[in-house]
Amino acid sequence: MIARAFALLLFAGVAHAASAPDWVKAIAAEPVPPQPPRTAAVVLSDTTTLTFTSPYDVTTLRRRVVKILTNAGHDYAYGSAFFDNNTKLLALRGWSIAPDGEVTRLRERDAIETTAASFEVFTDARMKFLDLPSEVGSVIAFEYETREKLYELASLWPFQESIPVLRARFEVRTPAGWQHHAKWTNYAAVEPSPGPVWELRNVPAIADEPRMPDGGAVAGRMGVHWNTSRSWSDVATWFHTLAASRLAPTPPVQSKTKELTANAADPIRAVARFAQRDIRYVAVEIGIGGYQPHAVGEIFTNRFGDCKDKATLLKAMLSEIKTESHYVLVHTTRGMVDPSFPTVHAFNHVISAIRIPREKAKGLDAVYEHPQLGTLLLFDPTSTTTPFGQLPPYLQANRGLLVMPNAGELLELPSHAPEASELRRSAKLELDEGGTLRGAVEEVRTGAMAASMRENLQALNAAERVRYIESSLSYHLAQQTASDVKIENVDDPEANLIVRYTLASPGYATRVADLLLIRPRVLGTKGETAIATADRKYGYVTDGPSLQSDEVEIKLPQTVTLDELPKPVTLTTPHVQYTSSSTFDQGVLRYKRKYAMNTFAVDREAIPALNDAFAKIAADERASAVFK
Amino acid sequence: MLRLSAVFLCVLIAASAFAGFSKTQDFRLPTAEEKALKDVAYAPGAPAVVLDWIEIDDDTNATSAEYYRIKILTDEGKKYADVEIPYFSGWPVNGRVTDISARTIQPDGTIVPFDGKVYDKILLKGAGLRFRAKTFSLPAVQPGSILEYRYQRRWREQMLFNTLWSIQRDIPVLHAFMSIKPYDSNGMYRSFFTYHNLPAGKVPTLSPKKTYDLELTDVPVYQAEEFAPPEESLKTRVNFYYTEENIEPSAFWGNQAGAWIKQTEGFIGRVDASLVKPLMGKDAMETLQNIYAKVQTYKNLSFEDEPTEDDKKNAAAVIAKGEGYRSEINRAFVALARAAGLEAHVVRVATRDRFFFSSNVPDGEQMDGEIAAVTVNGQTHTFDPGTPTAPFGIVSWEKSNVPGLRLVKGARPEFQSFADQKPDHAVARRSADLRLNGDLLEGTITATFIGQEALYRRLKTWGEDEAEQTKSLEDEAKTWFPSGATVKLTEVTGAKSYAEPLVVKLDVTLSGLVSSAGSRTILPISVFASSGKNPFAPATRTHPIYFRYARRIEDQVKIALPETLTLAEVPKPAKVDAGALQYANEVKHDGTTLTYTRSMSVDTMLVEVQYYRSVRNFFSSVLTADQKPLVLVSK
Repeated sequence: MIARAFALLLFAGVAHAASAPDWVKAIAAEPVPPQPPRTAAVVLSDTTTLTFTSPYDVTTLRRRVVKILTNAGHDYAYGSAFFDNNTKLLALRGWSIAPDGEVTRLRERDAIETTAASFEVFTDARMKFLDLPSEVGSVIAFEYETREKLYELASLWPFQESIPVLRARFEVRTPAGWQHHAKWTNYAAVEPSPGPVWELRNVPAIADEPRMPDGGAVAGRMGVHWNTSRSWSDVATWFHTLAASRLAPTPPVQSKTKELTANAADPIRAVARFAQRDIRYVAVEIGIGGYQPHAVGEIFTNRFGDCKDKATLLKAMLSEIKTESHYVLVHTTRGMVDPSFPTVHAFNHVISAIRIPREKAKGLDAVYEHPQLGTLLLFDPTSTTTPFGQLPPYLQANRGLLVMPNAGELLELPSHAPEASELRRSAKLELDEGGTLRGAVEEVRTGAMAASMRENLQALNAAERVRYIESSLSYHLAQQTASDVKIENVDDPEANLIVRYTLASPGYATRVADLLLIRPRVLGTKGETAIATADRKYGYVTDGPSLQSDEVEIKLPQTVTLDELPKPVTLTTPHVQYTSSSTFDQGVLRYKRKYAMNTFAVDREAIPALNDAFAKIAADERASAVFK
Repeated sequence: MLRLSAVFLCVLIAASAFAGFSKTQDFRLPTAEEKALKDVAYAPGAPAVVLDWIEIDDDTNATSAEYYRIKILTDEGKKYADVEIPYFSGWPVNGRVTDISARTIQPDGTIVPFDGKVYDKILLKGAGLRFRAKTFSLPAVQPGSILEYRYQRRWREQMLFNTLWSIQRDIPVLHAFMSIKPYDSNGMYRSFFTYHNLPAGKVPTLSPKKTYDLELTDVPVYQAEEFAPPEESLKTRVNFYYTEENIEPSAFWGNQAGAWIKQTEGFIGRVDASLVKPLMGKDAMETLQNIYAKVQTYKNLSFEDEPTEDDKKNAAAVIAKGEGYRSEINRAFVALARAAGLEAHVVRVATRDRFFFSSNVPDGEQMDGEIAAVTVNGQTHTFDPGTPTAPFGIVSWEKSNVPGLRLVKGARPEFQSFADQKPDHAVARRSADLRLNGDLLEGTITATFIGQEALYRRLKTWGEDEAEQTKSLEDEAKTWFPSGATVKLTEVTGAKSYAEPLVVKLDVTLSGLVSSAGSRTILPISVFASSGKNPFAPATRTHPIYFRYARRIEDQVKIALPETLTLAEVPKPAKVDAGALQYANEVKHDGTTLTYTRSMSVDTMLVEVQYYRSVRNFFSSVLTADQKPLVLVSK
């Protein structure tokens, strides 16, 4: 009941009839050239003006004007501003000009304020939002002003978005004599006019394509270093300085480290496991706390912390066992870190690089051979489902900043081989005279294949897990029951995830005329989504490297005789390898296949070959053996 | 009856002393049984379990105290150590959360008190209201830990709220005790409970302390399932309401209907007969069709994004301006029908999209829908003119097959079922004209959606542009086929018209349907349903099965075969008869062309859980029939 009263109040009596300011009127009066079909809205103008009042103090004035072109464009009828304890919001105003010229004005006090992130228990990051009225043809404008204390003399200008931008402008007023060093990402560089002022015209929308890289990774943006250029070492040193004071171990931490490692065959693994599994992920980020870890003692006592806290406790514990480790700053979205523009804003996550003896690297996948530091094991203590020795998929083939005491280095993080993430399915089945298939199935998953399924299963109780397995079978079998479902090692990321069940599928074999048709591939699909390539702009993001194999045995009734088997398939493309074969011997139909995907990303040009491979795999999966 | 959501009460009495926590909410050491608990027998695999939950509500003193005692059973369960207590701060509620205390009892018995910071997070702030949350995380939590925390909510004593005890959680609750001390208004207000899915014999009872208490044990976990009735109709809950009206619940609906009759008849009034003169047809039904066509042209403000127009005063104003909100248009239709000499009434119906109606719950908001009933030649016909593009005689699914009250001046209203719609009222007809070309099927598809099927799709994309509608229909068509199908929509008609079916024409190239069996070519018998899955795959079921509306699907597929191929055997027609669920298919082959017909109908809305196996078997059999292979051999 409260909620309803609240909603009524929110939308009641907040609009103010008024006239729009001259800058809005002038932009709204400009003609809008024809836009591509299905363009929901177009940004007529988006200008950001930074004014440095002292080297690290900056005010930002942003003015944005959007025209709504279709009903879907209503999503762009807003004004918003982000702020936190370090960024004071000075003003927020919005206007909506209806097609008939009527102007509605909203002020800051009309805004809805909310926390700007949801994963933290607490963050000081907040946003204010103006919900501006709109109809097709409306012009929506807003402006805000903030005053911010910068952590580094760098700015990011993300000018490309999901709708076209007719004019984007970035104007900066710096103290006299300041230099600037601009780097462009995913867009041709433009020289500034004096000021400096950068201005772009007709920036196209980011295409929305299935299986494309993250929009943020392909969006055009510019980064600028002010006064002096900044290196990755500068960024790393800044972070190291922030974190260093938090690393002092407390007696309980020392004691726990001793306890964990006293009889451990692999002390590093024992400590890493503690940070990964016994420290609960809880983010409390206030001010500099968005970058600076909590103190080791506090993290240990609470048994919770965020990514940088977990990495900090791990570093302190490793130090107790004379093992060197380093922070690695990463972004959880592949492609967001541009090597040409060093900035702390490039990252949203922290992991660890643990120095290990080279001989201990055997069997570990997340290994980086550093020319000075030697063998480094990359480990993400925040990912509770990723086994020790591997990186979660979103960090593989990504970039990370290795933080050393007085230096930093951007690393190309490794992509694991398909063998690091396996699904091995084996089935021993028997077909009865009535066409029902029965028998035992075992599925063994490792690496990312296991982690992904673990994440699904961990949120389910026992009954829900059985239903999950039953539902997954229904994609492959018209009629099925799974009994005696047993799932092992759901909570242990270092053990294989094993699922066993007894399958029964009535009507599996089909009789047509005098033929008995049996599909040797009983379960599982390997190929990924085929996509249209016409007008395709971006590459294809796969499910990630994996090696998957099926071995199926179906004992057939003695009365049947073989007529024809499906042809064996062998496929080798740069990204996908696939083999399958069916045999029939002594009354047993055997099907073996192996599928390997070896990449996270496929170039645009290689998509047709990928589609072709997926189509051939799908055809093999549908093929039947013929008996009489 | 008016429910008081946030009513200011002139409270003359002074605030009583702080209620405080009762002894039942004192922190306590774990029992041997609690220590030994590793799993819950009736909810195996639960990540955590609520050992004890106590809620003491006091509406006289405007406080609510809660105590939670939770045992963590797995790593996943550690998330229950993050606590968020939402509340409204600021005027007029002036809510606060006070007296927070918490601790963790570790598996070895060590107690770790919570002495960390409690954060005050803004969830939403605007237009004078502030919705915030106190958040904190308990320390040192691991599987085997027992968490205890308690807090008190307070609010402005001049505010009186209804109370909801939402009892069922995503983890089991072994013991729960709830108590409410109602606001004592000296007879000015009545209060009453409604409850749903409480165990047999369990209801809130009046205690000597004049509180209403409810104690429950072993509350099961709420299980979400596909095709289940609305969640609100399934979860265990207790609502405690205040009402301004001093009436018995048994007399409630009669009084409520009286108020509605007064309101609707006042709105309908009497419109000038000259307004319907141009709409008069050769008979009553044609006249009705003409009136329906007219009101369907009105601008329906309920379906506008941000309507700012005021409510109309009467039907005449709706007719004059050609616009209105949904119920206003419905009443205008009734007014015009009456002006044409027809017997027409507003019917108040209980919509079933969010919860199911219960006449035992004296809450008028349950019946929040309106349709129209018109008697022609002694037969009652129902209409939904207040829903844009609703076909003549079809009401939007949430208002169909529901209890309703026909609002007739001077008559005693009685609950009746209205708008009982059958599969004929919701038909999806798909026809494909394809040719086999290598391992592809190429050709055209025409999908015709009639009645409810058309209305459902029109409303799904209501307010979207033509391009978005096209994409939505194209995307739906893609789901009929395996991945890799090329589907291009070429024509849509009836997307905005109540009078025509919605017809979608598509050019298709379908891969992933043709397969091989050695040298033979295999086609699935059903092109449209070959990649489907049984929506009832799990062997067990907790809730009844809920189909939103009765419907029928009719498919016809023609496939021209290459001259070199013929069908090895024409399969026998298939039929699956499960009473209200029916399926049939048939293949014909004239030497060059295969013609496949398929029909499936669902003529039920709610199937009790004991019949789950039958429903599951029906859909399994349908899938088997749909995926039966057609073997093509060389001539």
